[in-house]
Amino acid sequence: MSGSSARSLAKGSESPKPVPEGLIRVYSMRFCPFAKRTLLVLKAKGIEHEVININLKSKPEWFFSKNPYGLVPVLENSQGQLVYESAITCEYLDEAYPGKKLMPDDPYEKACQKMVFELFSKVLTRKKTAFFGGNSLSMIDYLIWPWFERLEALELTGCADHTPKLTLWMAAMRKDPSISALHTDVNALRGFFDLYLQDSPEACDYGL
Amino acid sequence: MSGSSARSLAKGSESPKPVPEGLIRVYSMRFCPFAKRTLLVLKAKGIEHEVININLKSKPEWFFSKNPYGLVPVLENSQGQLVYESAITCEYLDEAYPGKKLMPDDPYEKACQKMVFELFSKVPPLLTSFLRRRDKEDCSGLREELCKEFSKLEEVLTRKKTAFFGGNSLSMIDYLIWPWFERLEALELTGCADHTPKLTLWMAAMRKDPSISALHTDVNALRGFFDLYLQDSPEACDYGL
Repeated sequence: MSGSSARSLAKGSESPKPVPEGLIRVYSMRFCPFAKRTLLVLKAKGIEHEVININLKSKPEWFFSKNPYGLVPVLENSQGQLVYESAITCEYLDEAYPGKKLMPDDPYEKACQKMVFELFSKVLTRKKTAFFGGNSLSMIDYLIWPWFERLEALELTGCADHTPKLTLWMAAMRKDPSISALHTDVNALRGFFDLYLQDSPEACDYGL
Repeated sequence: MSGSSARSLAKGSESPKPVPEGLIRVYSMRFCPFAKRTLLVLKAKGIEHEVININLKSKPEWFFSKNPYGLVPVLENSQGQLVYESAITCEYLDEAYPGKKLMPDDPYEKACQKMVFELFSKVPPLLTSFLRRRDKEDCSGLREELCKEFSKLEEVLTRKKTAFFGGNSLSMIDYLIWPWFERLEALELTGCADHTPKLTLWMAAMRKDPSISALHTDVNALRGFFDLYLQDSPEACDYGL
């Protein structure tokens, strides 16, 4: 989608144009795991969108009028409606857009996904299914995936050595079309982490 | 509803019977603001339920099989399905039961309620800190922080130009945040709302809600509970019974 590999907008940049009709915009950052959730859902549901990357080390002043917290991800539509907080953006997209529902219809099943979101990996030993929401990939899997993608870059893959089901889950996730389409290269992530820890304003545009 | 004023079950107590059909059970505690959320929604939607109070200072061993976190509130139905985390229990009840919907249908309006919920989220830990420190140290910093949080909520009401946080009638978000406003008097923190007139009006309007007044917790009971709770007394949860 347009903009996902574009240089970020930083302090002093011009406020972007209004969002054209028929499109939804996501303010994002290429290496942010929270924003990755939203991008995964946009991809999985085939929602037409544009991406504006934000330089989180040198934020544009206008960005705080999109989200008073100054964080990504933020959704903005052509009516100027704004939604922020990654899990809220994901649920909003699932409800507002047609196509495959990522959240289950059944209230109890939906509640279970939310409880898993709270429990994260602790639940895995109790689960007898391949994915966190059942036997096919659904919302909860996308919500937690970005952190597992980072394990390799952070040299933490050893953490999953004693959790074979989690390792199997990670392998299955990598085969998902939306996840492989939005895969972030290990070396890019490492390069980003280095610059980020140095508070460099170049961090967010690493590799561009 | 049956059980709401019953003595709590503590360590060594017998595991309760299965939930009868047609009823939903909530594991609660009379002074827990998180469990209050669930009780308010049950009341507002007129859902038949039974309450089992848990002694949080001396938890029954079986309670951890209801919620691995060992916290209230927890919902259990006759099929043995368990739901915990207060906000999750409230959404679940709204979706699973008929009658008035507390959450709006429109996805954007629903997202707005959730964003206000996030905005509010600093208030509970602030009140907890205040409770723990008020007799030991100067809490003017905490009071200031609370005033700031209230100003953020005032801004929401100002921007929306509505009496309640979800619009012109009371809805889910109002119930979710109410239990902490109910405690302000007992904590002598009502002054933090002095510069937030809309919030003050909202509190007055909330008190008139039938579900809220039906489940009102007396100021002195709360104060008594706080005293015992801070001393880690196993009698705290049953204060007044």
